[in-house]
Amino acid sequence: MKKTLCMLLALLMTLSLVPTFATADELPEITWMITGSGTTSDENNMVLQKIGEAIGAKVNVIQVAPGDEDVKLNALIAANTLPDLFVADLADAQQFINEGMLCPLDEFLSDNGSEILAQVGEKLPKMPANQMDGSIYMIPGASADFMENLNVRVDWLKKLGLEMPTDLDSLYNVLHAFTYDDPDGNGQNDTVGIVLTMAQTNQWENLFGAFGIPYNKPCQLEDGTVTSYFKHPHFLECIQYLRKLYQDGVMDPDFATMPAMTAHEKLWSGACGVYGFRDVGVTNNWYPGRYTFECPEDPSEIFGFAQITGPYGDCGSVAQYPKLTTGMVVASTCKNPDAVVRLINYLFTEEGDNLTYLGVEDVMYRWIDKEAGKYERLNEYVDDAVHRANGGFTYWMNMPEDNAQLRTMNALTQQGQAEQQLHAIDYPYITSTIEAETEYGTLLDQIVKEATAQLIVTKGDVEAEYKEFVTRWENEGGLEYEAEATAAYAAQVK
Amino acid sequence: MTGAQISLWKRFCKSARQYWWFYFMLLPGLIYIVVFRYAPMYGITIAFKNYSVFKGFDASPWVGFDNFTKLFGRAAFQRALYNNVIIGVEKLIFGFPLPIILSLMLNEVRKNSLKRTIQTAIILPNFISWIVINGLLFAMLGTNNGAIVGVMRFFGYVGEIPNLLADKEHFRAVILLSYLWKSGGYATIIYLAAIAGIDQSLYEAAEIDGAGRLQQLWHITLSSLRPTIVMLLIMRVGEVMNAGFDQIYAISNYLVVSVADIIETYVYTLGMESRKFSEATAAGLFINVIGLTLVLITNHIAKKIDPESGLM
Repeated sequence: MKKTLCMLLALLMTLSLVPTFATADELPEITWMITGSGTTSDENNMVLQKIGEAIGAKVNVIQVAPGDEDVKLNALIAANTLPDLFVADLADAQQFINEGMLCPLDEFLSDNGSEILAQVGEKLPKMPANQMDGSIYMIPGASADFMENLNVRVDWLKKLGLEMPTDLDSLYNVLHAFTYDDPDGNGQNDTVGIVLTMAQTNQWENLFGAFGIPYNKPCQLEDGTVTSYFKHPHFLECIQYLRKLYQDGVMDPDFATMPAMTAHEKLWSGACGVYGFRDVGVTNNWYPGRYTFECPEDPSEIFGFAQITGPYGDCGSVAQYPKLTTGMVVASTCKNPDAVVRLINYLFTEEGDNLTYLGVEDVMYRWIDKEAGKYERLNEYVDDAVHRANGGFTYWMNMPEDNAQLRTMNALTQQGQAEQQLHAIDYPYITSTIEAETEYGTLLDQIVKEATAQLIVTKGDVEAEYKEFVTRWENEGGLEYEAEATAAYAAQVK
Repeated sequence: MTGAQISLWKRFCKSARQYWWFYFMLLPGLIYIVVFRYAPMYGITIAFKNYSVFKGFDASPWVGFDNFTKLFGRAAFQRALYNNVIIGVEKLIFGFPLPIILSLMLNEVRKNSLKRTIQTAIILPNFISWIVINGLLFAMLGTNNGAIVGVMRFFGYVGEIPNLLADKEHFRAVILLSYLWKSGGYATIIYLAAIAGIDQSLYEAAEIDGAGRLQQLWHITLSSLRPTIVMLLIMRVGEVMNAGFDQIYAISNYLVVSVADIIETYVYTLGMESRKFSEATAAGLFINVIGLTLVLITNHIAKKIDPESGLM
């Protein structure tokens, strides 16, 4: 009996090896690390299968929560299990190239990268990461990023008899009314003027912009020094305005502890009246699927955009430049770089762009008028969460210039982006690596975030605390950063 | 080899031959400790190197104590060290006696069903992860929709309610109290087991001699627990620098980071967010060396006071 059982077990174990042999000759596999969009897609969903069929490879996706990309990538680096394909900025890419961690893509581009070369071929040699040793390592998207809007509930404005705010005082009045005057008319104290969260930069840009500060970017002082926006001469004034919003309860008090998704949920559930975020999300991609209150077909009945002008005449959000310092890179440990380049190339094609943005045609959506960019979601895919769980939008990387999002964007969203581009807060866009940023960047960034949160809520002497934070920032490598950034920018604009 | 060593070796060989199955059973545990506890210690070398993942341990260049010099020069590290000491000592001072007190109190409960219910209630929080506890704290203490705020408002309180999770002045108290709630009960298991092992005839004799409950508790229960208390104290002191990464990482935020950032969270920032693996290892090695030193000192003191106590 024992002998029979042993034989049976041995036979079963041998049989379990069969699929391994069978798959060995099948498709090459690649791993791709992407930032998640709030909903984790099912493994091997329809969209991923279609991508695999199109490029002749099995794509294994590592989906990372927004904000956790660096930590995840560093953990994978520490374990020496880098994903084959991921997005890197210039500072990281330069370090990776020096360490031999990235794969030169020249030969694969000529074989499998026709769309890439057609759309960003001229841009490739201009990228600093691709100038290090003459090889191409980084592939950027063809289009610039979207601008951040200050989205305002116009239905609430109408209900309360208010005008769209245009300056800091009128914004305060609107926020106050949105918080205390029951704008949703349900008789409950369940709304708040504005929701901000330290977990994301989007929400803050227009408020800092009203003081001429490029939030989360470098700025140039009058003497030509390039430094952190934290040392902008109007920084403290902006903080004082934010303190007023905080103290008067017209901004959500949990701004320092609130995760990004919770902030979004406050908008989606109709608890918040003003929200800083690119309208592409607020009035287009999320509308109406993500909202839990009743939404009319036309988003302009619910949302409008405010341009807030500050005391010095400044207004807007951070300017967007063509991507030269960030892009997709391939790990040198990748066993199938040709398949990875095929994947990137596919994302540049109209077919790949439509698939990753809208999903599988005639299953998840269908075109009503393709020329006009009109489409409709089908069946259960009307629900945003179901759509994303099945791979819709999840793998979309905004690669081609004329992309699905731009083609299908509704009129209000297009208008919001166009208006916002007229109000861009400029900043010194440095296209070379700053060593001090690589060395101290994360720690300096944390000091600034800590300072911002702390200065908004402190009951102590704001100016004295600000000075302490500035001294700390300077001593922790900030002065080195300033010197390098100033020299690099001066050389760049020469 | 000296004569004594040869004799010891012979005794070991004899014992190994005689009880080989016990030694065989010991093997997996030994292998585990060697593979997962001792072998990774080779990684400590990167604290003294300019470590590059792609170059590996051996090819990365030696830099001596440069990483330590850099580390100690960072204000954020100094702050983390200070917080670490404060939080670690607080947890030791309040966290160490709590299970002893709880055990003594539980031991005095005469009704078994009540005793078991209380014991289960105080041990259960240990099995809740810090992430869940963070969620509970947020749900209870949040100023926006928190339960406590809701109750206070329900009863008509209109004054200002501080956000304890975002208030520097109270945050360490939140850390300490949530730590005591979670882990205070679990350590009672060892003390209750030790109490159960005390010879009951000692209590009977003491009662005949006229000793009251308090005197019995002091002279019999606590005296009998002394070796257990000393052993656990030595081990706990060794962990004093481990101020609780899981807890603080889960609960910390930008408003309280100045009083909550500890070495372990700083190591995480250095290693996982800034990719400074060498400096992160140096920081980790530093707290472990302190921990080991504290264990040795406490052990030495314990043996001086009572030669029967101590770990080695």
